[in-house]
Amino acid sequence: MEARMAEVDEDRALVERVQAGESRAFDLLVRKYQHRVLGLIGRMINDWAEAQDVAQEVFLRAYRSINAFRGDSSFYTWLYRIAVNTSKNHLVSNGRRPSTTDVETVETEHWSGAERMQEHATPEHELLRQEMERSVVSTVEALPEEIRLALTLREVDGLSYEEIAQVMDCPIGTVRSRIFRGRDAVDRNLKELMP
Amino acid sequence: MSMKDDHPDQEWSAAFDGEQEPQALRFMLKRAHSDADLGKRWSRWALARDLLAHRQVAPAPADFAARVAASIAAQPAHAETAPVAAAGGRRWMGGAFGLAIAASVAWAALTLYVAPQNESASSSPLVQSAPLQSPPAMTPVAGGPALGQSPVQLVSVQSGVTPVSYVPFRGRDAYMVRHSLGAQLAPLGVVNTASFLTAPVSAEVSGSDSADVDADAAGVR
Repeated sequence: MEARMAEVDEDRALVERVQAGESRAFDLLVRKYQHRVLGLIGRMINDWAEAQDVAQEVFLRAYRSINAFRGDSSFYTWLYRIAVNTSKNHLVSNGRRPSTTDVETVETEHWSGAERMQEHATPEHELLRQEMERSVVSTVEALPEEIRLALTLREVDGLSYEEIAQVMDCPIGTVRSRIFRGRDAVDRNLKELMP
Repeated sequence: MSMKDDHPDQEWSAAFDGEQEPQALRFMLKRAHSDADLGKRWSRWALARDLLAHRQVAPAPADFAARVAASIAAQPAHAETAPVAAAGGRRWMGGAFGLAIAASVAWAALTLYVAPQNESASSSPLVQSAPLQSPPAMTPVAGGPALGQSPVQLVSVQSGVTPVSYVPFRGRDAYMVRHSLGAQLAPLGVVNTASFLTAPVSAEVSGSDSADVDADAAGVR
């Protein structure tokens, strides 16, 4: 539960900056969630170009409505609802009925129907995604134990720095450093595939 | 890379997790604005996180965030995000501000049209007013645009100096000015205060809260 709270709070500072009129902070939120939003919309709309347009519309609507966001849920949960509604509206306005199966499927964040995603993405796109995934996983597996543990506790389990410090019995500054070093190692390899 | 060199990016990594020092974020946002590579790195970190957690993501094109930023920048000014702290008092402030503007405009109109009137000006079709003492006469500039269509400049007949430009009032502003002038000019015997406010009422400047429409359309409320 505490891990969940950490997730809810993660974007609060950025959202508050956007609400204060600083649009640069919104750019960081876009960069943070663009891949997830595109993945979500891609599962609802069977066209990569259309999915990008709808995703752009989703972020635009989120920006316009940002003052309505009160932080009762995480920013991504709020964004997710906008994405699902916008995608449904897009399908209906184009005379296509949103498939009940698709909508139910996207409700599951960790949906494992990778084969369905492969149908929607272009072969090159899917190959690149698989290659990126392999790069990330293999880099993390090759990290020193304490760095790998700190990174996975953060990225996979969603623990806060304080919670990781308790689990690993080390200062928060060490957690911060370990997570950065792990992230930086992953990034150096990922950068070759995604400059 | 030394630990000293690592430090700024370590802060950046903490900010990605929402664990940065509160005061640091503002400086980091400035840095992100001037260093495009930081934004790209942030995007890769996000992708790596999603892939590690086995989320079904679709890697976004390199220019996607820039396209979103451009579409936001292309929005009309009224759709821009207003500071949320002001939201509570916005309606009240809007009404009070509107009244203050109307009062100021009425005062300016009185200064321009009533005080300068003399006998020669009293025959002007712009306004009928009781004669006042020694004001310079004002006439529309020859060849200037017609009243009610675009700004009209008034030039002092005596000095030839252009003191101020006048923009015809429209919509709610015109209504407010008429009523303010009516109340203030009545004791002077002026009955036709609307003659120089002949611009048709237009929806052009009526208030709009259209920024909320999108939220409803998106079903986010």
